[in-house]
Amino acid sequence: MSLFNKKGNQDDQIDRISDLPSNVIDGVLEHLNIRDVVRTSILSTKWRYMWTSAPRLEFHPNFFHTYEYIHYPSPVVSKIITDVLMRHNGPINKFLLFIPTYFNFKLTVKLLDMWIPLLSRRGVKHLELLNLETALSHLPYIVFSCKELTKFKFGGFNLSIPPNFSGFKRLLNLKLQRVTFESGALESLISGCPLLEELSIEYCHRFEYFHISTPTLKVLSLGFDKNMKSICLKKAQNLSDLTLMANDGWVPGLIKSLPKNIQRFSIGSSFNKKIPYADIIPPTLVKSSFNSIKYLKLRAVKFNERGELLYIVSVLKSAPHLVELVVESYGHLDITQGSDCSEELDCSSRCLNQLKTVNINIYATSHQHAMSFIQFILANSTSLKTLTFDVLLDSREFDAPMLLSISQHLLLMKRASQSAQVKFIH
Amino acid sequence: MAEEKSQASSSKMLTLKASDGVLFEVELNIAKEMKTVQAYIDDCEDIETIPIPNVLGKHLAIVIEYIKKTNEEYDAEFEKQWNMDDLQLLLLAANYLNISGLQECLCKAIAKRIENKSPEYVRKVFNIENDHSPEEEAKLRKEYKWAFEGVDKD
Repeated sequence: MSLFNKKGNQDDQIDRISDLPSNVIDGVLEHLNIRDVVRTSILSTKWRYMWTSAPRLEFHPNFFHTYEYIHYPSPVVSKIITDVLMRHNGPINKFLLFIPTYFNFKLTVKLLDMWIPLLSRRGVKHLELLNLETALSHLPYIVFSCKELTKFKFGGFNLSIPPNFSGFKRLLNLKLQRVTFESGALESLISGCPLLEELSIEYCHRFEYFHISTPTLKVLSLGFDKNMKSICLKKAQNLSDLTLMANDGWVPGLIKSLPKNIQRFSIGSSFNKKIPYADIIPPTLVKSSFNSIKYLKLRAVKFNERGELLYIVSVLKSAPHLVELVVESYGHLDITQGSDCSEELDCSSRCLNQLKTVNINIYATSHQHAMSFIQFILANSTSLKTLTFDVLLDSREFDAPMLLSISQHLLLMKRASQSAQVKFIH
Repeated sequence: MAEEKSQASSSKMLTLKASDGVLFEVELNIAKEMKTVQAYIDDCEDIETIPIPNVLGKHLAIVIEYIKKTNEEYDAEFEKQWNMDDLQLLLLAANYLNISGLQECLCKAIAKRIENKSPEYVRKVFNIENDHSPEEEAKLRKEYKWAFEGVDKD
């Protein structure tokens, strides 16, 4: 493609973009960094003020990185942000500040006292303040006066709620990352959001209980460490999409209750800390809540343990409406073989009648037991369309003949669904 | 994951007529992805041929193909085939037909081709005529000095 081709027909010479509808131009500007956006003012006289009505203003880490070499970047950076806000002329739908780690710039009360009211007057709906520089400070109270927010994400602050907090009455989506909670702050915040539909809490501190009543909530994602003591979700009656990630390993009996109508459920742990699924989602929970599940993602499954595999199979049998299943098992597992349990996995019960898509992603060493599991799925899923078996190879263990034998074994397995397609990726 | 649009539950076909008269027969569920067309159908239920006055046959064909095939992989490769002129016309078409997924894909593609580029480069790409006086241009460069730092060399 030649961008500078002066030959070619007249059509190629037209300046289309300057006459595009402003909502379309805004759509393009949305995907450009703030420097590119402001630089458009120099393109032509028509473009002089176009950026000033762009509805989104975002200062990402790449903006701040330019000033890393300066000792005290704060005054430089804050002047630019203030300048941009002052020159902008029109409604501001989204404002984002993402200060990267170790960048010497503090989001002070003074700065936010200047910027937040301005944003509020321009009707800001979506606000993101991410402050990853190491010294934590409290989220300034002025932020809580942004009453029109529908989407709010913040990180790198201490959270305490101002005494006169009247709530974020229109807030639908709330995301917290690396926040330290003062006592009762999280509960006060959420109870001030009567319409909340989506909530995400990750890498937060002093996060020990989740017993919050959230009747409007539809999507919940919780990431927590070993200090988490109890998660109780029976009051989240409308919750249909749940993700639980233990960053430090699971505490048995952590989940006290699950909502009844849950449809999407993803559960796992990072850093290879695993405990048996029987302790994470005990039979009583499975019995009462898995009836409506359509999508299930299980991470960190120990395939080479017979008990674990049998338990997972029993969980699947309790999810008659399951349509999509993802099972992951990464990281270095112990190489102990574990006994072959293909006989114990019932291949005749036709229990996975709605299951259409299965993804099994494992690390090489547990492939034999994954094969028994795959055999079980293929034999019982009458509606299966695709099963993908994705193996991350450890080159010491694998070679072409081994891979070939796996492929052949997969092809020979009995299938309940005639249209099932099995993909083996390595 | 792309839905299996070819196995539509509704086998009703609809005809779309592009601005240059080219006709396209599409399944109802494909046509419904174009919200403008959906609104048309909602208004006149028995309609069989819908005029699309703002879009050339060439571009309507591309749009229909996109709706049928869209998924992560397809979208990543999609924009590479078109020159800037076509990208803009496709964006106008997606905007008129109100297909948000395609609009987003095209906006990203256009932005990607000009990100971090100098004003001279951007003007060439879009055929924008610079009608700023030299004084105005100098003034802007000074006012927004910070925005002109770190730009890619042409």
